[in-house]
Amino acid sequence: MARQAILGLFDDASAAADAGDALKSAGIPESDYNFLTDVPYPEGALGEGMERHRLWVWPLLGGLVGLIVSLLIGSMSPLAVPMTIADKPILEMPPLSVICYTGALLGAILFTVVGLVLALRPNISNRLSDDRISQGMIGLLVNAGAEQGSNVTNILNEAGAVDVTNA
Amino acid sequence: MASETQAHPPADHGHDAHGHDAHEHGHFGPEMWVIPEASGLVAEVNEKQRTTPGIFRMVLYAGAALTILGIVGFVLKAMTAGFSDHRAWGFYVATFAFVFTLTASAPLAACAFRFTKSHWRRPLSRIAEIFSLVSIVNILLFIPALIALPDIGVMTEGGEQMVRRSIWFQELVNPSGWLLAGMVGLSFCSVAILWLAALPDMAQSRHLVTGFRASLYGKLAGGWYGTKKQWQVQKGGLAILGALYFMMVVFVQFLVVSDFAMAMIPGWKDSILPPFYTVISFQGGLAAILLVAYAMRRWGGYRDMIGQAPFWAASKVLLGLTLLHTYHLFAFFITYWYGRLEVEQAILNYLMFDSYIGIFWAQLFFTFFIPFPILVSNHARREGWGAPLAAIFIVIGLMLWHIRIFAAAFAAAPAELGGLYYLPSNAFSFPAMLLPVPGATFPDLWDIFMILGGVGIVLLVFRIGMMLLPPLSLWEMKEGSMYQRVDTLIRGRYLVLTKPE
Repeated sequence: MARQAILGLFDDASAAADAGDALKSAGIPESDYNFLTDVPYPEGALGEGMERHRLWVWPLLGGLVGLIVSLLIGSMSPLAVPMTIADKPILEMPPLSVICYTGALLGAILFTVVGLVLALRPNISNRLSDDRISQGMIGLLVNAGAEQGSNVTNILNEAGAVDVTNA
Repeated sequence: MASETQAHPPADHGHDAHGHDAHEHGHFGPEMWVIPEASGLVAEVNEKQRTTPGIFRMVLYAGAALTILGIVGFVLKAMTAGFSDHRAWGFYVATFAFVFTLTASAPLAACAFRFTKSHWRRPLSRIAEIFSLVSIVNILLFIPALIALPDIGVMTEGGEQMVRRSIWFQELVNPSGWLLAGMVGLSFCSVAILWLAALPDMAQSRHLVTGFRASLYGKLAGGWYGTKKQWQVQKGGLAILGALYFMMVVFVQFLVVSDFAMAMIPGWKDSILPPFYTVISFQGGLAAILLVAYAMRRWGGYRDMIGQAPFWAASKVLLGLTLLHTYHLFAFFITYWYGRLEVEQAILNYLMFDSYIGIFWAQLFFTFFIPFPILVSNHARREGWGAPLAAIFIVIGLMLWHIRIFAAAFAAAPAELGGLYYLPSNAFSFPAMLLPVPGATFPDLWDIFMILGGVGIVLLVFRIGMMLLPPLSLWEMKEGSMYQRVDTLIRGRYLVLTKPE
């Protein structure tokens, strides 16, 4: 089914929140509309649901991979070139821990950045925006079905949108 | 422009609703809390970036000239001294360590104060993050230092292994790989923090810039729309990367000071030095941020965006770090003085009371005796100039500290048996000692060029960073405008804060 993007621009956050409530009442699922803002509004301020992300998995995974790799490298090199110092064991944890810490952190950082790049991809199918959002206006981007288009436009206008554009 | 109603009291602010003469700003001047008007902030900051004040142009040219001087000094030093004797590179290593100390901890300030959700940090965040770009330079500066670092172990002609004390028990050659990996990881993390924090600002400035910046912003922030999920991911990402950066920066500082200072002086075993170095780095990083912020406020045209409050608040943190610095210095001294082992006395004499006594006292004055009274003065702190003034002395003092520790360490002993090296069988029982205590080493002309070049490259790269990226964290400033206003309470005007979390 063909879908269209409709962007309503609001100069008042309360009006934008009202428009979100009205869309919800009209049966538009929350996954079909997004608030576009120039600042991070506090959780729930616009009446929207919680957005969850699993970014924390990436540093844990990366840290584990980095730890294993550094443990392997760090233990193989002294075994390959043994060096006895004052009767200390060839392979010992204190010096190895320095290498493991480095490896684990490097892995965690690398994987976090990869996770960020993936997680930051915009979760909107029709990428419609407006420069006025950077001046403090709030955008309400609705991904509406063809038959819902006029209804959505009416809802946005009635809620006080200063401008409504379609794509 | 700052909102008249928000940033400054209205024209009739001398009278409250009851007709009383009010204390206009409580005990605070009108410039204490400056809350810019959010709607025009992006355009205004972009306009300020376009109209570069003369002092910033001067910083760029001076940075470029000093960098060229540093490169000339480095090339001539390499041609005349080579890399075979590490003692020739003490001042270079001191310069690198100074630049690293100042710039590596600066991005941490943005993360730390963001963790604590303080509002006053908002104008300082981007300044702190732009120091991440200098971390790329740190990698380049680090490579010659690694080349100059003597091997951990070497084979004698008789087939015996000679080793020197270090944290790397298992590496015969110098541990360049792991050290470089740590430094690259640190730079990568700090640049990632800069990118993530500047992402919304680059996206919001896209339509206002042209040429290279437009292309850069398009590539780096093309996918940013400001959806709820993106803001959530950005917030989570900054928290995670900030935590990882903290873990990494402290560790790399431990590696640098252990390998390039402590391990280079025979017999120097000091558990206080790594945390001491970290405290110094935090102190230097904050001092550098405050200096830049003050220059932007005073001469850069950002007076209506940066109030006195960031300096007032940060000066207390700087005072704490200055006291911590001095405490660690005293703890280092008293442990060795009380221990009275011959090796401990030798190290005290070398670093403090004999060879480098002049530079030691000069450093102590610059890092404590001069900034301390400035920072404890409530007047100096509140007026906004106290912390930057103290910061100037602190930065000079830290330069001297690095010369006293790193240049002295590299000059302490030759890389030969009885110098840095001992046979493995008696490496840990034979008391490695700095006897007789060597005299102070002075820089030659190429060393001075390299020291100036180190300062120059920081100025140059930082200034380029300020030209390329929005120099203020626009989204955080706008967020701050949403959560703060100056209002009347009884007879004074005070800052009213919203704390959503």
